[in-house]
Amino acid sequence: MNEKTHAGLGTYLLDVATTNPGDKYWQRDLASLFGVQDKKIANIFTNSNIESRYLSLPSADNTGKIPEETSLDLWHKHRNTSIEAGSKVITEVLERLNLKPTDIDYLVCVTSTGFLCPGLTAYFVKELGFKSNIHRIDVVGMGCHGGLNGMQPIVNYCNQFNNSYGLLVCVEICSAAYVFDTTISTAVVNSLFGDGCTAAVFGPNHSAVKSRPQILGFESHIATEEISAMRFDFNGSKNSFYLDRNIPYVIGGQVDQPVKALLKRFDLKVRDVSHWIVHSGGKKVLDSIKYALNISAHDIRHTVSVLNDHGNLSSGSFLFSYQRLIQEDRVDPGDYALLMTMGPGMSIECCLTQF
Amino acid sequence: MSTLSEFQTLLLIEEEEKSWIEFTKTSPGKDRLPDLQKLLNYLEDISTARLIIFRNLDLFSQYLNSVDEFRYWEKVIERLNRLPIITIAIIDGACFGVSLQIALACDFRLASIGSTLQSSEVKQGYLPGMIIFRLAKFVGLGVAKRILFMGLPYKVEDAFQVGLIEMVFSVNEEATAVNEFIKLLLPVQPTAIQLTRRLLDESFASSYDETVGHFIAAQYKCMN
Repeated sequence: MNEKTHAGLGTYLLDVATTNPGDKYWQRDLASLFGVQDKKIANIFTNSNIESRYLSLPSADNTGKIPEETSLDLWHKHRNTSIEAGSKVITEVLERLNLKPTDIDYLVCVTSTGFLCPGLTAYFVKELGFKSNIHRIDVVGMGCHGGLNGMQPIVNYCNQFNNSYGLLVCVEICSAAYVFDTTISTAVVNSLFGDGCTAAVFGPNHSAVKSRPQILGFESHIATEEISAMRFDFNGSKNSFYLDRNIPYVIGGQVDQPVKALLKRFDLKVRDVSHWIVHSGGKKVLDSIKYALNISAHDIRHTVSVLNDHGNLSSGSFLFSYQRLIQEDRVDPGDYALLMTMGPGMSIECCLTQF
Repeated sequence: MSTLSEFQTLLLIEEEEKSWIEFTKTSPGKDRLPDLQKLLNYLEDISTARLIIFRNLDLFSQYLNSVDEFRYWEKVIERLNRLPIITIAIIDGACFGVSLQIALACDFRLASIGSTLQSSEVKQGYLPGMIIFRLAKFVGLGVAKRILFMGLPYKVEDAFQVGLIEMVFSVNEEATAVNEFIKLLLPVQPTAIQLTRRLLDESFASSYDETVGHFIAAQYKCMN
């Protein structure tokens, strides 16, 4: 069967809801709120191509600085904020589609900013009244590319069982997973990530939605020689994320492999993709992808604008960009959109969709 | 040497790492689009050509009539601009409308003595396509305004003086002149050509800080 002619069958990305828990901070103010004296570190904050981020931080103390949080503070923050923000986006997206929690057959929650047992799916089932026999998976620790990994079992399930619905929830409370010290390494990470939460519903073609793409296929790429390039280190009491300075260029050097492999399965070329929905990993990685695939700044405008407004939102970042594409209202029936996420492993995940 | 004859309005002659694209007859712009799209697909997907030369551009000298035509043409021209291939336009005669757009999207323009470039669209009350974006990069704002506002034929000898044309030759010297020019460009490194062209284009609109990041990303691609 020609995989491009699935119209009317298969699984669709029906709708997405997003939220940014916490307070909005201007990037230019954050270095001084954290008491940064070193100009080099302050410059990392201001040269990040990020204007603002939402973070769940304690109020500044009487010295005007954000007090240090204990690991227990961070754990509580992750749990409470995740449940609150996740419940909000789940409720919003289901209401928009006139669906009830009990209509959902498969629930996947993705997070890398905290460890909970039981996982977030259990909390959402309890809070929101999903059915007790719901299929569920908690994807924990995959990092920024985990949203597309979480999407795969949902799409497989929905393709297998007609008229079933799946829900993907990406909850990243990045302000619950940080260490602030005077090193350049932590400064890069602390200048980059923001808090964000998304919920996306997948299912059969749905009359309540105007533009929705069908999910055509996935392609993964892992380069384990770079397994240490992006990782959480445990510093004795907290997890501290590490990013190798060259990893953006390594991603750029390999990104054409999964992209071209995926497109080839559908007899397509890079030029056939009308919309690029790329994870807002940071300026360097976006530059690298842009030149590696020979795509334009316009092609990744939504990714760049999400990075500018929110920073790197980890696993749910690409769904914020997707939401902006839909809000822009410029997609035509038949347009192909390629979703791409990158993260630890080093991994690149791709998903081809068609409107 | 091989000739691909599957095109209606052009001839593609492949000769080692060069491809000659000869427009073979006058036809409306919309009829040429499928051929050029097919040509670009071929160059991107199959051809081993590292350098292409457009000939008989004068057969392509015609004005476009609708916004849609301009939109479609610009897509084709921008694809030409992104090829990992050096592009050369040979101008022999009057070059205006679509042929001027193609010529300006090419990396280099070589012209026979007595040929002219012309853009009279502004005088006719509309815009001459995205040469409004490209022309001033070659010649500066002053000369670009003169060419576009006056709409007069611009001699290639004058265009040579302002850097819009790389070489002017007499008609019976075309083959020698073109081959000598091509020799200076060989060997062609596709990735470096593609990225250098792009960064040069972007240098007019990007800040230094932005460009440094782009340069590192592009250089990584070239050197790895």
